[in-house]
Amino acid sequence: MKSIKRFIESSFHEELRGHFTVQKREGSFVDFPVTLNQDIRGVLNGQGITKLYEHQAEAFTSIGNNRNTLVVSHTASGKTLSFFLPIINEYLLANQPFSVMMLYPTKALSRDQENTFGTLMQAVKKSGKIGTFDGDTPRDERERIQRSSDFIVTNPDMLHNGILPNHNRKWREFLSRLRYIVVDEVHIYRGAFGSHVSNIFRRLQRVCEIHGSSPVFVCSSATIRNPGDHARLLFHREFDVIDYDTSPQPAKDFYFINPGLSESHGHALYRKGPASVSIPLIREAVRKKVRTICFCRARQEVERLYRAVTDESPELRSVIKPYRGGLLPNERRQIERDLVSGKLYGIITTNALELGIDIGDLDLCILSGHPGTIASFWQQAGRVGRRGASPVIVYAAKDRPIDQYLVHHPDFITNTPVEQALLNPDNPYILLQHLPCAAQEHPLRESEKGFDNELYSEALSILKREKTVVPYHDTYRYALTDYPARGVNIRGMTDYNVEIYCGSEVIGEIDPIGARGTVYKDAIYQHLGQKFLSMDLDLEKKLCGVEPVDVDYYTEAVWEGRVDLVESEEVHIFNEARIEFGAVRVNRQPKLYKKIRERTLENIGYGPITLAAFEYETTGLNLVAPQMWLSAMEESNRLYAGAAYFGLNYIIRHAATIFCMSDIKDINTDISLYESEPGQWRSALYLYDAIEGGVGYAEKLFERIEEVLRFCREIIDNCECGTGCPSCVPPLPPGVDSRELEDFLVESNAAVVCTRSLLSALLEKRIVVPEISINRTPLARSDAPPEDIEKKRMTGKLNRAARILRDKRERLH
Amino acid sequence: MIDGCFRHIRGVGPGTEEALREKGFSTWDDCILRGDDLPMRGERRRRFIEAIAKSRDLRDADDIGSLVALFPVSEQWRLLSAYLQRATFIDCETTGLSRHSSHVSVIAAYHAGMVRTFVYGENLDEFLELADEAELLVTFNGSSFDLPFLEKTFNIPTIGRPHIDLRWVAWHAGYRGGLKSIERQFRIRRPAGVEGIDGFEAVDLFYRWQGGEENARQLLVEYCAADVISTYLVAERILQIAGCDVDCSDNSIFEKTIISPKQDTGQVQQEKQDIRTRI
Repeated sequence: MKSIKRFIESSFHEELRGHFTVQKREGSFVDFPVTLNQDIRGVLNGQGITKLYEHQAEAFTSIGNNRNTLVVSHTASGKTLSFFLPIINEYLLANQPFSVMMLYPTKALSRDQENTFGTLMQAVKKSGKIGTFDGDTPRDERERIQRSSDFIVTNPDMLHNGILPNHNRKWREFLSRLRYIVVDEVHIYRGAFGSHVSNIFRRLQRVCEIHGSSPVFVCSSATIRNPGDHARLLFHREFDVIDYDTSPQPAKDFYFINPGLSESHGHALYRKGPASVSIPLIREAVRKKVRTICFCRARQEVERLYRAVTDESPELRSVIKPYRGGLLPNERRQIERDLVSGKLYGIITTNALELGIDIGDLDLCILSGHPGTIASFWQQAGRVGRRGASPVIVYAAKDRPIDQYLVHHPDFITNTPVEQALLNPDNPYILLQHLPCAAQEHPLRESEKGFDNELYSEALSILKREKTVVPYHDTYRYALTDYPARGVNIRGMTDYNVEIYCGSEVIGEIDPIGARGTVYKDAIYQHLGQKFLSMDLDLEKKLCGVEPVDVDYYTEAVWEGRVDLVESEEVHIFNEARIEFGAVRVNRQPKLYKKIRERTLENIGYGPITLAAFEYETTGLNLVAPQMWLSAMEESNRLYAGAAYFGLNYIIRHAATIFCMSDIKDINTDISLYESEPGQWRSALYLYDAIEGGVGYAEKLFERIEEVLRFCREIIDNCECGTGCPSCVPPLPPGVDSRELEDFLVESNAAVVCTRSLLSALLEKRIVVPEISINRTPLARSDAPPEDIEKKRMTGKLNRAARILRDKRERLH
Repeated sequence: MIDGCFRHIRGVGPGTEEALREKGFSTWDDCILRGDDLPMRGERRRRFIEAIAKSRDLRDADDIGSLVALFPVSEQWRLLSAYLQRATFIDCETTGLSRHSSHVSVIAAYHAGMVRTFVYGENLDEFLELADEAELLVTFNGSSFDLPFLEKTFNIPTIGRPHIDLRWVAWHAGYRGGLKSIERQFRIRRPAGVEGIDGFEAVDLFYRWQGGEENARQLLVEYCAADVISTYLVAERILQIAGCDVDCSDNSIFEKTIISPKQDTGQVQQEKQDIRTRI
């Protein structure tokens, strides 16, 4: 690894923006629990395991005492052993075989886990009692699994529309002796998806009670800020949370690299992409047999990087592979096997490999661009250094505002707490979708355990009024003859795939929204390093035909979006600002594609995309700033209003997640036009539910808009940055599409001060003309001496404390 | 008839039953009165008498549900014979065979000389009221077809009434096969209008009706009613062969009993009332 560090430090000397080391940590071990079965001891000894980590032993005790247990898994902390060991141990000791349900968030993950678990089971000579039950399970196999499996691996989708609706017939036996429900990666279940899954668990617990079982939940989560609260909301139970890690960890080196500036043919300066770092680094590492993983942001980016790395070094093709969603299951399995067995030295991937799957020992991790959240950053960085050797993590920044901020502020990554996972189990819209499912499973009572009483009885009376349920004896039975679970789409709008075929062979798959932007007619689709030309995309038939081609360019779609409030429900005039709530039509469409030459990244042509727009209706609001404020801004600088709109756009979207207990991807915002008077169009901020039909997020924000805006201002006021950062309003908020505004924002603190000015107008009717300071050298090296950072932080804290005191004084008098 | 059954008692197989009959035990009362002569001793005898006494209590308490649950299928004809006039025969047609996507289209119930029909989209739900009042349900092949479909259609965990499946009663009496083939053996003839229609055609009729053919609806309802009456006729004949005292109705019963659900509510209410008084 020393040679790789030397290579990084010498090759990227100019571009290096930060280097820090996370210190090595010794592990702390305890003996096997006395109750551990002899056979298992033997198996573990055979694998060289003679002791458990302290946290594993605690999990063993907690699970062994049949307490709901949540294990927060850190890198290489032995998660599998933490929760399977006590369960298998109890299973082997039990007189009557009990059953265990294991839920993984995706099909792919569940297949992998079956393998891991299968070997452990085989080792204790009781195999054949485990099966994976998901959409891919063949029919005859299903019956065998239902009949004879004690351990079933499945996913929430299957539980929702396969197992629960049939609990009374095929699953009665399995459910009646269900002892453990193992749920992996619970942090994935957040936002609207989490609210759905939380209701699915309510249904599961109700059905288990009918069959006389009361299973214990054993869960794992990646590091999140609120693991215990999250599990409680998701499962409606209290949990023992094991959120510490006693496994030994090697020292880790982090390098933050900002690719240099370059001059194009037109003499304009532009920043080189992260590939300028990752390509030479991957080649060097793999040649030195340093096992490397590189994370990219998008699937086709993975393919392009793979081509770029191997095109001039064909000898590397056998030891480096791309891995991403959309590959066929057998291709994925093969790559996973090769990676674990050590046949591959390099893997280029998306966040598909961020979680779950055991990928063996890796030493170098390259993050090509920031993965979007702090949690993901640590998760990806955590994929290396599993077994002792000191790994290196390289973060190569993209030419995007967020990346540019982070690469200049490495301390933001290390100091900012990881994100929370939020969900609202009592979202009325989502609850109302699950109650008919529950009624179909078993008639509903006047009150049901696990539900919020008031909300439940209100929802039940709505269902009664609509005759969805009708009285039957002392209960309410589902009165329709359809299959309600089928109408409840727990993953939003992309629950099916488009198959990509070449000749008569299916070579890959892609979700329908992704398909519009990747495999439109004439698009170049890359698959495991091979290029195909899309001949025809048929979204009705869910098919896309492609043919192999050999060209030196790739294609990139240019999307256009429009948001309209089509039906107004309520208008609220608030300090002269106009806020309107109603039905919103969202229209997104890839309009044309660009052909971009590989390596030089020259734009070599355009073509039209003739797909119908991707259109859906949802609920949303728009906000137009007070006229007085707009005029005042217009007088000073006509860019101020735009800066404020985009700034508020960014911060309100993040703040909204807290109010709605939703995930960032569940709520969208946009600056779009609004017709104030016939023929008069003005900019407005739109905020809408990203889920078709809406799930009440925008509605809630509309009702509490003053609080939301106040909260936004608190975030800005309390932020320590002063000039804007991703925690409040970044200097260049996303979505800005005017060159002039972009240039103005990127070199100033305008976004944050203009946003603050708008918030003052909205909250207090105060017109404050923003004081903009221009920072002319944002691209220079900014290695501030450490004492300055300390001082800045201290000043920030003092300012905040002073403000709190002032506020308190004002309240008192 | 009911109290000629011994096979529902634990430990009584064909051997013991034969021994009992040889010794002249033909009813439960015999066993209790002549307990000392029973072909068994000690604890076994005590438990046998206790079980017989319990069976007698169930019969006296009119607990049909417990008796149905207690009797092996091969002996259920005895219960059928005892409660024939109190039983409600039911049959349903469906929109297909899939338990996921199909549901019941028509239900016909025959009770005490009357047929009531329940039609999807019209009065199907009223069936549940009738079911709640039924003392004993009799179907042909209901355990694997009609009842699961009814439970699925109404989304209830169970119909919750005592049930005898005539198919298996007939099977033990040597009549194996579907309803239509047994009918032929007994020379039961359905009315000309519905003769030759089978379950598959009934599915087709449903879709033709949904497509707007009012005749198809009428035919489907008549077919379903014919099915249920035929089930009743088969039951009568099987009981007669088993030696029960039953007057077998003739084929004219088909014409005499059909009642359409599309009558003015006053009349329907009156019928309901009639059924209740008769029960």
